[in-house]
Amino acid sequence: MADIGSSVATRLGLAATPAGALRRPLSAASPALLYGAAAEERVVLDVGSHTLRAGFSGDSAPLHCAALFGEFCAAGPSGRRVGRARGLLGADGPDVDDETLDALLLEQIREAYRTHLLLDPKARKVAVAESPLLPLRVKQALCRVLLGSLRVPLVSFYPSSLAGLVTCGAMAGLVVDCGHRSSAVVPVYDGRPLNAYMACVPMGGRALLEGLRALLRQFAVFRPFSGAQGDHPPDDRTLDEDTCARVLRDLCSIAPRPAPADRAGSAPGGLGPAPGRVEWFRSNCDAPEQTVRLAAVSPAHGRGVLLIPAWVLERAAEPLLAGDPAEDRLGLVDAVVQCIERVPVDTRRHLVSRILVVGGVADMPGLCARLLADLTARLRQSPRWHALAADVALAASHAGQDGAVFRASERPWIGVSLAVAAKIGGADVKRDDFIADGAVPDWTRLAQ
Amino acid sequence: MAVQYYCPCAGPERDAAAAGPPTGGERRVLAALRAWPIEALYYCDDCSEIRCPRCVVEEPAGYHCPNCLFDVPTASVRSEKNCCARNCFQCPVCTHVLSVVEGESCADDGQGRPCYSLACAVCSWDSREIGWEFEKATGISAQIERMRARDATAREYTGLLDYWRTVQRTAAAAAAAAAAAASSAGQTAPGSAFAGGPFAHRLAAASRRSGTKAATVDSLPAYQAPAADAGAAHRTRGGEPQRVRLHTKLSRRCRTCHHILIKPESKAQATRFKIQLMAVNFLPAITIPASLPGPGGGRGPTKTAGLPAGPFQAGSTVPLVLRFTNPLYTEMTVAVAAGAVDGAQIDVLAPRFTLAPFAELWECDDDDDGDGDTKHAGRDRRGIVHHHGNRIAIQLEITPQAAADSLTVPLRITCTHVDDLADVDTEGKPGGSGPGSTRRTVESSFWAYVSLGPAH
Amino acid sequence: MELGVTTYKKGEFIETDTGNKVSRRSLIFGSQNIVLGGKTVVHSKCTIRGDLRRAGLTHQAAVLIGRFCSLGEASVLRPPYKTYKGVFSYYPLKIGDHVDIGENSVVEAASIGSHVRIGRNCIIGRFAIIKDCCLVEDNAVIAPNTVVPSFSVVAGGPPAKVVARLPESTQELFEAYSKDKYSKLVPQ
Repeated sequence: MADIGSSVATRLGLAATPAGALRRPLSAASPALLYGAAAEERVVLDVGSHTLRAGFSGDSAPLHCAALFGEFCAAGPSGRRVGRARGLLGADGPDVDDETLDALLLEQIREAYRTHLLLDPKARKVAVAESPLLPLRVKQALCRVLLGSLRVPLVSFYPSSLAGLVTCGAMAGLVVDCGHRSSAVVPVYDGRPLNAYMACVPMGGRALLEGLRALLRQFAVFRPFSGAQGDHPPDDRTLDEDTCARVLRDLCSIAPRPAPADRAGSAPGGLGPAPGRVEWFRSNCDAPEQTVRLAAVSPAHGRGVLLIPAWVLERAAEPLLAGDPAEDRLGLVDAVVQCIERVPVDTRRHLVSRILVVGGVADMPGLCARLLADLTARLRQSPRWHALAADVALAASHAGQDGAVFRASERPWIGVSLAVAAKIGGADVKRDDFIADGAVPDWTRLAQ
Repeated sequence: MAVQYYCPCAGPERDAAAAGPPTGGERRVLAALRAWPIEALYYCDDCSEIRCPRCVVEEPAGYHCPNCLFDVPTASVRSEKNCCARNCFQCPVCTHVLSVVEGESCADDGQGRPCYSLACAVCSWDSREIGWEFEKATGISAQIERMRARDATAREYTGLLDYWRTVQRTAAAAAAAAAAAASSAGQTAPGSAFAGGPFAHRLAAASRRSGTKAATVDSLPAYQAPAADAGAAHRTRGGEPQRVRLHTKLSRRCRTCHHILIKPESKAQATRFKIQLMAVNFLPAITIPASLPGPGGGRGPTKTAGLPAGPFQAGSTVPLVLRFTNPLYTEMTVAVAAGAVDGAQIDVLAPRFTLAPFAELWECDDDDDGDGDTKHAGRDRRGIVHHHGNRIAIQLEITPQAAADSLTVPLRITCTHVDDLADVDTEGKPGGSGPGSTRRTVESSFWAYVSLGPAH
Repeated sequence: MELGVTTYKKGEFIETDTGNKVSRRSLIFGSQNIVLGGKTVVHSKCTIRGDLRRAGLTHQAAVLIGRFCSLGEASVLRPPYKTYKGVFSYYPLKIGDHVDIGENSVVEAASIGSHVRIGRNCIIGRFAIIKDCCLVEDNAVIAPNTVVPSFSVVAGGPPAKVVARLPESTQELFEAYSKDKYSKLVPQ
């Protein structure tokens, strides 16, 4: 355990430091200058179900951030590989065997080394931000690829929930991790993620994308540039994954107010929101313009514009927050309340006052504010939680008027980068040990 | 990509011998990652095996900027954060490389001094949109670094790092004291708790054991975010020009024997390689001839071969002609065996044949002239439809048992040649080694795939 | 898939001593300012603007093309221009050996290295520099002043981006391809 060893060295070296010295502010110079870059620097990876982030410890942002794909095909005369299905475990098929999973991870991690990290994988230890919902087999595949194929000397795992809090300078809080496949609410107390009290919902970026696509299909209009043809409802190939992802990333936001309770529910037959609800959405839209125009291509009608009602962009995330009663799915607010119910009673107040939202979906403007508002409203309704409602607050420190300093989606990565730079140890897997017994530490096993 | 070669590597640390061809629809994803055109494959002449980009060890051998093509010394790559330290910046909107343009004088001094900004020639983005103006046209990246040092993200990160270092030291000091106390009291040290992160565990343990309130969560000074700089507005990274990421030249090694397969010249501009062991130079290239001389022996293409197109009907035999080309200066024996395919019967009419050595002569030879004499040799062999120089075209017969739109024909190819131990680069004399020289028979085998029908 | 033999009517191409084949239907301007290296094929409707060259008495050629190149049907080669210190001027367009330019592509590059393949309907912007061993996929639009490093695959655009790297065998591969293509262009 090389890392434990190094922290022992730190321990011994600093045992004699006078107490006053501990409070002395350290130099603001970059850590690379102070400690020498190569010796302690590690590669930091955040392998989510949708996105791969890669960079170096001690940096305040990842060097590389790209979508992970679950399928590749050859394209062009050179037969170059192009990713097809977004998300590591495929869009719909959970059944990729281990060999395929290894091959997919290897292809994409190696590409990150080749074009962005620009070094020999053998040369640096790797720290990985590990989401509580990261499937064990993905974790094992990650170890096989990093330790076996790429011959990394050591991989250490850091819980992404804790890493997120590290970027707020906190050791306790309620981390809401909105991933691609699902979202989890993890309480962290005293620097320990309490995974046993975690609450999950199978709603995330993917559900959001599908929801948005359904809304666009129903309410958006495709207008071809060639004027002779009239407006058309957009077809599936116009609303492909890339277009929807672009709309979600660049145009969507979350409206500050939820729909009133009497406007809840979906249309008969389960197709989108009920007409009354749509009417309310439309009339309560704050956007300055009623429609947003986006260049798009339709295979049937050529190039044109997609006219999207502004309320669709504001309300695409409604099911994520409030759940989908039609499909009997819970939303994020439900998950947070569930989690509060589960945690020990004496920690509740403390946790509720430090809510941190991380994950790919969390970059959407307005998500934190809305989550907070909805949660407060929900807690106020219930006599049991009424007293807690006043304490609900976000953990992230803010700078200036326009939001948090770090991007919510990058927080776990930045947290690991910080933790490694500050020499905080994670769960280590050494290459030789892994080759010998293939064991990977995991919280699901530890709990047994 | 009608013909693909399948590397025998079976992913990390798995038994390579067990690797068969991936079959079945659900393994399509894997097959796409493991099959390559022959040009992309390497060949380890020590192991006599194909190596693909997946199963070689890559090591950077030289860095350069892809835009200004300046070589960057390895030592300064990391300190420049893997980016070009010169004036190469990418447009935040369209990623085109920005150029420095001279603008009107800076607003605040009335002196009329020129002022510079970065502009994109493609999308007309200008760095003045985000308030970036430069006093000098040179050393732009140093000027930007100075601006970035005031950036909120960097300040916050440094602040946090200092905070966590302090926490870690406090914890370490307390833990050391606790450990000393514990060992004197005969207590064992606590086991590590991965789930909580060792640092937290030590921290908690320290506070419990020593009985002091040295380092609990509450007693630690709370993290204070650096005060927001009134001047430095918060910006998202997405909206700023990014420095151009460097490129590397890679040298590649065989992962089993560490033999160097590719060693580039380190200069950015050079396209030569000091060592280059590519599969094209060792293994027979398999191609699908566009046309073949007809049986009449007349000039000009009389019989078109090409790729049989789908859909394929059950029971009807489809001919498939493949041409093998020997890249070596020695004779090569090739054995072709068809793998099992669901729903089709494949007959290789010429399962074993010998390819003549490659000679410069045939390169210059006009294709049509050679046919007259060589065809006689080829005709008496069953299944060989054309024979010219170091190339042989063989025929396969495919009989689908069920109607199908597309078919993939797996072929196990084993090629044997006698190594004359002469360097391939020196004067190659076909079979020209003396009788006393030691020779070794080199055998390599691999899977190749021929995809028929519409491209998938 | 191997290349098929392409035949043409005798007299369709003018063959030079060095083996260049220039289609009679190509549009060549200022031929005294154009250098073809040998065994280069200029297909029909290809336009080469050798007349666009630096004003004044220079002996510099306007368009320099190496050996074993193929300039596709209806492609346009035009030397790049710019105004430098108030003077408008054309600059030479240099193309290396074994360069294949696809149909309908427009080239205004400053230089294209050797062993480069450019697809169909591409636009290579003014003063772009394409280094050796590159592949430009069909319909790519390379922005002006772009530098494409060696062994790159470029696609999409505008502006086209480097999307992949080519294998180390590219040089031999493209060389064999261009020689094969030349040898398979035969009169009927």
